[in-house]
Amino acid sequence: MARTVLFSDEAVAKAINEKFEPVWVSVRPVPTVTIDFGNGKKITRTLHGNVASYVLNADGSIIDILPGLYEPQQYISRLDQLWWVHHYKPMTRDPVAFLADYHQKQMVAIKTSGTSLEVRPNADLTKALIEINTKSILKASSAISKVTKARMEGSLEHPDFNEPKALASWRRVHEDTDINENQRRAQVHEMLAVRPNAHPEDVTKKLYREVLHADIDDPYMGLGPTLFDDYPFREDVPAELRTSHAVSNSH
Amino acid sequence: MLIKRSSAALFLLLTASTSSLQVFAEDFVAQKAPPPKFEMTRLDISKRAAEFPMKSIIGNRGARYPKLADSFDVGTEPAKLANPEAVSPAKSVDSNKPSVKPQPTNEKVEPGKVRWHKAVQTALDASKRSGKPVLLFQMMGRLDDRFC
Repeated sequence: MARTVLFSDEAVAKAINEKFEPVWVSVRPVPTVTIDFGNGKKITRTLHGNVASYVLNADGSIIDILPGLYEPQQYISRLDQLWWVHHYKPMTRDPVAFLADYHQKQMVAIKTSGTSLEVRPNADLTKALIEINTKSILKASSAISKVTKARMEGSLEHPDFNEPKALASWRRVHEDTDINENQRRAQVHEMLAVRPNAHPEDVTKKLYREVLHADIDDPYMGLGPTLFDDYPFREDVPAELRTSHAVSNSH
Repeated sequence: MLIKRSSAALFLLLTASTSSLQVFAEDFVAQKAPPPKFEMTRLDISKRAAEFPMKSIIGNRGARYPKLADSFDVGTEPAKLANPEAVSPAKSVDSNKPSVKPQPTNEKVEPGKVRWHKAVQTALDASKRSGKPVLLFQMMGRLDDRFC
């Protein structure tokens, strides 16, 4: 989905190629579901394919994370703002404290107003400015929420799936973008506020488990109880799940 | 003299009877013989093979047909047999190919229009040179797989 909605989009690809050094990594194989209808017809679909976009410093430390899938315009807009955070960070008195403060302020803003603060572009070019800090670069983003609402209204319940570009207008993608911005990002900021110099390997498992709800350490990705708790044939329950199966059945 | 004549007559009578019996027997066999046994055997096997999977799935009665159950992969053969095209003699015998279309595999595709670095370290090294931040896209599966 991310490849079709985001990285195949000309505008997204241009923005990324111009402003970032992009790289993709796999955290685990994607789970797939295949239904064999027994008449030669089979369908295969991916399941639970969660994604995260990290913006990193050259030393590998995290600036910020965009959790989940975004619709293209919002993705470009958010990446652009994170580019500015990366730009301002070396100009601050204490870059680590600056990042911690940035995450703290964003977390509070999302939890209190439902939207994150907007990162002001070109704040370092303002004549009156003496110091770059979170106060000088962050501002309320009422305009963005209006744009989001307008886009949501223009989204489609059933777009033409033969058109890759139409996927970007799919209401589910817009709703997911909204959840990412208004809920998941608050969790990300909360996580990074206490570890402003973290590297991806320090937070990835926690991010997938607690924010994206896809435990990458669990071979069944948290679906074990759903798949086997009410399954009557005990011999088919994987050995590692038999204890929990028996316990949950006894309740 | 009388004994010699009687012996000769008896010999002729016996020879004639044997020949006519042999001709009669050959005619009888040609008309009344049952069809070759292998025809029945093939019919019987194909019927059981076609019905076996549904019986085993619904009633868990695969044990009734232990030899058949061991003789083919239950996971693949039923789909072939259940397909209407597969039971058409013209197609299944002559072409000797499965009539079921091969399923699409998770083939490699272009990972979008972004110019991705091959590894994280390469991107970090490039970031040190260019001054641009690194965009690390994490995912389950692979971006260059069709299903990802």
